[in-house]
Amino acid sequence: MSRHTISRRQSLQLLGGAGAGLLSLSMPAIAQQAAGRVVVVGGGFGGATAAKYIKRLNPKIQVTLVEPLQRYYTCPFTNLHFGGLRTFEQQGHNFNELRALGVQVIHALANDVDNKKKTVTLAGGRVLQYDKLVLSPGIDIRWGALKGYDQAAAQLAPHAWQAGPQTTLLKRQLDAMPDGGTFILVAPDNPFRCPPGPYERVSMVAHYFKTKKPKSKILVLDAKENFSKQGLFLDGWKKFYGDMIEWVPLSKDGKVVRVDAKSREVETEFGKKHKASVLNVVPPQKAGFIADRAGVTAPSGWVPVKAQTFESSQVADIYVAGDATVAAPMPKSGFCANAQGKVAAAAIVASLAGQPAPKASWANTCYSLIAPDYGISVAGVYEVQDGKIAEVKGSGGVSPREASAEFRKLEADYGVAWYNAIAGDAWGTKA
Amino acid sequence: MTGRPKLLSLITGVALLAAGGAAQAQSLDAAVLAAPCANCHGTDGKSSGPIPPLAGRPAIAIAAQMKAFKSETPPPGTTIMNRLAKGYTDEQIETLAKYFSEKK
Repeated sequence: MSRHTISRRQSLQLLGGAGAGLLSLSMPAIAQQAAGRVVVVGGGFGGATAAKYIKRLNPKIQVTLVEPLQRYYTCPFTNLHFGGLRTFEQQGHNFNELRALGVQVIHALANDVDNKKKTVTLAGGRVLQYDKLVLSPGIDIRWGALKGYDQAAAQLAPHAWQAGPQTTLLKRQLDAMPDGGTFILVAPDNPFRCPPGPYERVSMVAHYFKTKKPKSKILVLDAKENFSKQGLFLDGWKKFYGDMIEWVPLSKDGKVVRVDAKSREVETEFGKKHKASVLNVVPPQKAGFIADRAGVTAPSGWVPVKAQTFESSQVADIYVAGDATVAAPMPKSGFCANAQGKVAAAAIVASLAGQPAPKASWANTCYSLIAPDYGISVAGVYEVQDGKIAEVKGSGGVSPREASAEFRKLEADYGVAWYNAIAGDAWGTKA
Repeated sequence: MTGRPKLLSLITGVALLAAGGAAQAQSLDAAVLAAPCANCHGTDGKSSGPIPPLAGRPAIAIAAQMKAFKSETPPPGTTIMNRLAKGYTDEQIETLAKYFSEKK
């Protein structure tokens, strides 16, 4: 719509008049209702997708997307940047397609939500009124939950778990590290964003070391006993990187309880100290702060939702998608955020038209790259059973432990194809 | 909408509907069921990469392929689709096949 010479407001008014009759041919119930105003906070996989699919399902609905960044960088695929396989810019996406669809995109931080007046207040004081609100705020770091790990510490020992300056800081540190150094990754307990992420990161750092700094070592200190696609990762690490990577689980004193970012030293539960050349702390997390401001966050730090619609269990007319939600057994993945954004979008479109929510259905696929041409995956299909999200029995699972080189190569290629497809689906951008 | 129709209204309306109208011909249930497929096969199943497109393929072919993926002996070269296809009943597969066959 931004390409037209008439203003957005005029267009919406025009549609309100003429569009209704035409729409009624295909969607009688929805088209003849007053359309409504939706505000979406967060331009990531969940938010961009929700905004786009609301517009696609009913162009008459006024959709405003609030996202501080003009160019949004995804966390998925930044691990390949650490492996030297992609530039950082390849994970950046703009909002041109959403604007062309008629979504009003405002680049500002959403500071507050009044869930009674149904308003969102932006930094700078602008107030947006909504009929339905979508929050897709991703994660915030629980600063201080891990002793010694605060915002200042993250400037020395990056988390790089939100794409942006943290990603490029960690990359610079890895580039500057001398051969023979030790990279330590501190992995958190569940739940956290992208369950296979720490282990793909370690794989990609190992690939970088193997090609550029072969005398270096990698230590993973883990607060868990098990991790996603564990067998496949351990097999792959041994195959490609020999004994370069050591993984220390909870039961072997892997849980880090204190970080000294200045000396790049960490201390475990039983008092063992480990010193790193490059220290990457993936810290405990919670739902983005705006969810808390909106009153939808539970004491757990995450957002409970109604399975069928992804509407908050605590506040009416606020829908939440993505990593911020409690959606187990669905993982906190970009794929799931996108799938949840679509379920919320359809539920909102139906609700604004006075219709019952459609039947929810989700899927997930997470690809991880262990080495170039060696990819693995985990998949799942989900439905609502007895009011709760459940994995469809017999579906899903991980790549076979025994598989040909061709199989691993295909999954590496499909991983890239997935990224390009979902970027196109959410932002309309080509990676 | 609180605004009143103005000039150009028909033109604008038609242009937008042409872009987004096809999806509305089918029920929201089918659209939601099909929604995750787009994450790899492209929006509306219009893939341009190595993952095959679904849009406009005959329903009978899509359904047959999905059922082959779902079987205990999936076609050679199958990677993830065996694990995903098992998440759908034959009836859901027919719905998905029809949905994508109607995307042009």
